[in-house]
Amino acid sequence: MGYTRADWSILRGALGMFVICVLLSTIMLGGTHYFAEGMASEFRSHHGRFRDASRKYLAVDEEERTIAEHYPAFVELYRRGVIGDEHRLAWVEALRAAAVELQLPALNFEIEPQRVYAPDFPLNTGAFDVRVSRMALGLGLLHEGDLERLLARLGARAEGLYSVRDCAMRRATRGSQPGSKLSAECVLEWYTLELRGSRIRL
Amino acid sequence: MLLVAADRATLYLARGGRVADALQFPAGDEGLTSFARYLAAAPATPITLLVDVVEEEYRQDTMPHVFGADRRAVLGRKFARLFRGTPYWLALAQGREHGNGRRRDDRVLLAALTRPEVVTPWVTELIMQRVPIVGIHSLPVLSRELLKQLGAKGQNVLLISVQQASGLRQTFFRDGHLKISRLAAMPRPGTVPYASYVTSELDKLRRYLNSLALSSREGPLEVYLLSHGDMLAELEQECRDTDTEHYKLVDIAQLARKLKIAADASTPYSDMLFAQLLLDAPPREQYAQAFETRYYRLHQTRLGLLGAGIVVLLLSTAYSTLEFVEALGLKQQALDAAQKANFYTERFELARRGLPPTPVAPEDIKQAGDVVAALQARRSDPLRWLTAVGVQLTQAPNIRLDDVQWTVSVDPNWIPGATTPPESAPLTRDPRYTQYEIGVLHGIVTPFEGDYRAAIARVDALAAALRAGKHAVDVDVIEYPLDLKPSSSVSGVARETVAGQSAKFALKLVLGVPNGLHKS
Repeated sequence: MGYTRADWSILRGALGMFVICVLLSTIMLGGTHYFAEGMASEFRSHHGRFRDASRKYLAVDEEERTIAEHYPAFVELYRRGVIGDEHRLAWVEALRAAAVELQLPALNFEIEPQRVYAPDFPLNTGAFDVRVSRMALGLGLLHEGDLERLLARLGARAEGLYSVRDCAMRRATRGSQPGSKLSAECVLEWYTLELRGSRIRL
Repeated sequence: MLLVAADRATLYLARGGRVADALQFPAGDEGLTSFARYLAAAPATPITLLVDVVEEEYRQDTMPHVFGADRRAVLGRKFARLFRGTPYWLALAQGREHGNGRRRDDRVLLAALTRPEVVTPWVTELIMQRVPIVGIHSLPVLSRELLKQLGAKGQNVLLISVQQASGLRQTFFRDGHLKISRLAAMPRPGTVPYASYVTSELDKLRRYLNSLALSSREGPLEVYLLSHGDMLAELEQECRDTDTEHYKLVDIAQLARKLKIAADASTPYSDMLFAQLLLDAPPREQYAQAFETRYYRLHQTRLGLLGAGIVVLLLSTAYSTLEFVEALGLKQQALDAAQKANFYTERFELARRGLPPTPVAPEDIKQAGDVVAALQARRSDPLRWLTAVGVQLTQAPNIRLDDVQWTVSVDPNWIPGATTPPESAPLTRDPRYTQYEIGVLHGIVTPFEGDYRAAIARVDALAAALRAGKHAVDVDVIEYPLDLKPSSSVSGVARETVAGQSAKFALKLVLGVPNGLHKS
């Protein structure tokens, strides 16, 4: 059935009323939905705060125990440069001192910029980032035991936590450092923990 | 409802679906003018037309049992042939013929208004005034509904009524199906004996029925006479039951009460009864053409739009109300939660004041220790691997070590010095070990005087000794003093010892690092 202008004059009022009803309904539904969403969001926010606060309150005793039990070790790790800023100067000084004590014919080093460590094993780091600085060592050794003693002195004196990633040793050749019987090239990784997005300061 | 007769039209006004009042308009210009004036002043409410005129013809016919467009086409051809020149026709389905091996055609009663000009002026006026026409109905067709009210279920039923607008209407039904109807003029009351006139007209119709053999011989003719007051009393005196005829006299006033007609129906005329019946149960079959009911369809569309709008508004209001109430509940719960949160926060702060200040949250303090411990556990250096090799070399004085490459990895197939994962992985990871120390040593067998068999045996002996060591995952001789693989080419001096000739070899040792080995 086609509609003429006269037909539209009959339907116009009803159509207008229908459109008004739909508009009113849409506004009403939209408004209440917006209001309800706002209330739901407010509820979620306050409920989350409440849960967080109650959990924290209930955990105060546990926190007290945790602090008493673990904080001294945390402070010690911070002092040793394992947590917080890395102590590069201390590493270098420890290296120099060890080289002098062991009378190593040669020792050179190169430290790469620190970066976030991506371990190849599962490690839950929680709120922390593990950061790593790779140190390449070039050594002239008198005998095999020098490497062991050097690493032992580093472990004892240097402020930080390191792990040897790669090492290559070969007999000295004519091109090696004078006085060296062996040459070695090792890569050490120095690890430090830092609060993600923040800095730990004691 | 507008009852259209030859000389007048009666407009019945309804209130609450019940007939309440009536207005009469004579046929002709004067009546139409009054009608138009009334329509212009009255609200454009839908009107149903009921036609009761002499010029309505009926034909019994059969047609193939078809539906839809085919049925309309067949009927169109029949009406064009039987009732040429009128747009007002209808067909009543009245069952099917008995088969007896033949096609079972539909039985139909074809009806038409043969003088449409009786109706068209009223219809035209209604259309001009844009009044919605619900339909144009036939009073004899509508009479079927009256049979139900009367409880008339006989095989042969004759319904006789007098309409003030049109006259004496006799409608014959066979097995409930309308077969024929006749309208006769009714003299003004008091001019002729009423009952005698009715019975004489009844005789005429009875003879006509007999001549057409329309009535069943198996049952009597049940004659329903509708009247009231003195005229009904007259008919009671006149009409006597016989074997072939049974009379049922019906008081119009009583029937009007049954139909809940609001207006006074103490009259011998049945106009109001039919008006109410049409309002209550309009027959599906009617005369109106599509363009004539256009405004009614628009009216329905308009009502549909208004109804839909109201329904949408009501539903959304209901839903919004529920959602609003729910939101208020959430608001209250949010306030409660905020109050509790503040309470616990204050308590927490009070309790916290007793704790020493820490740069990180207490739970993170332990986490930091755990992470450092995990790193400590994985800490590695080549000393353990070098010791394992050194111990065996003290047992093999003919082996001299020249070069060592060492690395640590969670993959036992890793190659020292490599920066990308190995392509092949012949070794599978052992759950006993968290990581592996992998080293490749290069050396020579010395002294060497050309005895490759002895040199190879010493290398194999070293490999076997390393393999027997604790946590040795894999020992692989990468290079022998003499490459014995059929795919390689080999050259040398076979009969004499040549100065500078050496027996080089390369060997790979993979040591597993048990979990917690480096924990400190």
